Amino acid sequence: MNAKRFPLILLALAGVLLLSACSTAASRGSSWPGLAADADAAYLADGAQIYAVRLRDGAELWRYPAKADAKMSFYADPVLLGDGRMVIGSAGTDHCLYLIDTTKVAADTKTPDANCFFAAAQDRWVASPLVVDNVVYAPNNDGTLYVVDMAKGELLWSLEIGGGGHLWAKPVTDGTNLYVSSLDHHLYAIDLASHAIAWAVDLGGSVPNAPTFSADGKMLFVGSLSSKVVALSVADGSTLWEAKTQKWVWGSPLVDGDTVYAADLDGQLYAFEAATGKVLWNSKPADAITGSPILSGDQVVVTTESGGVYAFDRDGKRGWDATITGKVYTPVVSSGDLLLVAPLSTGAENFLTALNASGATRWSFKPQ
Amino acid sequence: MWEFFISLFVNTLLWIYDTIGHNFGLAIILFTILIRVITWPLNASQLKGAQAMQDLQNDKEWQEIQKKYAKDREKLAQEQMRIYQERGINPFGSCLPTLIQFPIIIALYQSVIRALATTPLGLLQLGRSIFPFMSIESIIPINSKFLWMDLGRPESVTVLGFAIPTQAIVVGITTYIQSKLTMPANANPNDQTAAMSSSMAITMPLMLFWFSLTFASGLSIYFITSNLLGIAQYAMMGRANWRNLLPGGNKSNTPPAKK
Repeated sequence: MNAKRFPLILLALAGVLLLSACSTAASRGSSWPGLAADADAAYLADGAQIYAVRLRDGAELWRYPAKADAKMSFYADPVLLGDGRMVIGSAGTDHCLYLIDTTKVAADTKTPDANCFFAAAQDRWVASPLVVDNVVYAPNNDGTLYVVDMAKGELLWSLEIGGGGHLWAKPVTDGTNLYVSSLDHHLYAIDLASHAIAWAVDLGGSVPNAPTFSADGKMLFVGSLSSKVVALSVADGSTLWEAKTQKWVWGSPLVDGDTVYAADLDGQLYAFEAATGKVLWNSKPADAITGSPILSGDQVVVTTESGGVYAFDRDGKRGWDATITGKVYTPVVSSGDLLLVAPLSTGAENFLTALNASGATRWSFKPQ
Repeated sequence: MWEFFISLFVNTLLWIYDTIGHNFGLAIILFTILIRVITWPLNASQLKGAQAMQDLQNDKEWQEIQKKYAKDREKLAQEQMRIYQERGINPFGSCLPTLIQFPIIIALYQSVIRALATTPLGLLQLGRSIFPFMSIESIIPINSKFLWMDLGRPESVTVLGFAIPTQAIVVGITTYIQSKLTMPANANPNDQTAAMSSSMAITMPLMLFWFSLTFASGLSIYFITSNLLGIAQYAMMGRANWRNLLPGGNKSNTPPAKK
């Protein structure tokens, strides 16, 4: 090699490496764990693999795929079908919807039987799909809702929603309509019979979370990046009330009887009167809250970005708290007497921590 | 410091995007023009340095030491350095405009990726990069489509079943043209400056071609715009050495003189 050119080539390589490093960091940092649990196991979708972890002791039951595949990446919560199978979409370049049979785990590789039953979407799956009677309603980042026959892997119908694309939230349904949130600022009601949009509401900001039904099913509560929580009529999408928050509302609201709980990126947890939107109480335990609040017994539990887990009673009085190492964006999942917290694995001590109902750590899981 | 630099880029890009009617490709082009305007004095200064190097090739004293110390490279280098110092010439001056692009390229790449916010974490990060006086709720998500491209992904056009990276090819060609136009004419293979310039004229196009092939096409928009503006700037200043584009052209030591 010409010695005079060596410093330049070295410089060029440094540039390449630096830019590549930026890209790698972005990719690693973009992993957002998905979490679900049944009575026996937690299912953690983290980065390029999904782990099944035994609730009793935090032992790993299996992982899929056995070795990380560069094409696969998971952000969404696995959708448990109740019969030992689960559906999850990949946020990697494979654009696959996977059906995983957790009842068929190979003894040697400890990997469950899995197949990509649909790969015709144009982009990644950030949202979890809704599965009803073997029909998968899957919103994709390409802005299209894909409705797929899970058994045959056939596309039944699809609907391009809005102009901005980016569907990141799991749909909900009342049997008549399917309600799909979009980053294009709208909440869409799609008539399941005609496959047409029944109504759409502009919420003034992107909607990264799923709406939540009121106890009587007549209202939908949804938060958005316009820093508002809005109550809509299920019938026609008309606004019943709206309440301002300090910052963006990222997670889905929680409905508990006549009360709606929602949290924002300022770190405020709000309790609203479901009928009127009146603020019953609000509290700021720490920093940003991205996960939805959940109900655990008589307590409302939230996680904050810095790894705090906080419990409140229904009147807003602070109960126990706990701290997890790492940043927490994924909502807490409750199973039995356990609360499962999945921090962002990059920089975290563990991938999954189980707390008891008092916030004490029962076990932690880190893949070996 | 770096984070502030990125935030500044992101906010400027998004401000332009919002002002011109939500066209991110055009926002990158206008942003590149802005960068070029800001770095104009630096580029002009480097161009002067390059011109001085070119003029040096016709200097009698310079030519004499080349002949005199042709077989003593160490002495030749000493004499060259003496002349550089006496005349206030920076021998690496012509390389600097290209090298200065590195931090800008890296910052712009990170800014484009952050502004397009294609992942949940990315969107959270974008929200935190925005200055308090900016309101971006109404413009998120950013429209990443520009012409036939998705600015958040590498570009290619499928022709007869083959994916052709048209943008990467244009980036490679325009980078090569820009590098060659600014190369000092020099036939002396022992001259370090000529060797470095010659090396850059090959390395940079290949490297930026690879960048364009691999990274978000928004970055390629920056490369192409920046290259075209650079070529235009050199041409306007009368310092573009078009003969360098011809095979063996750089052996001719008669660059157009500045009027």
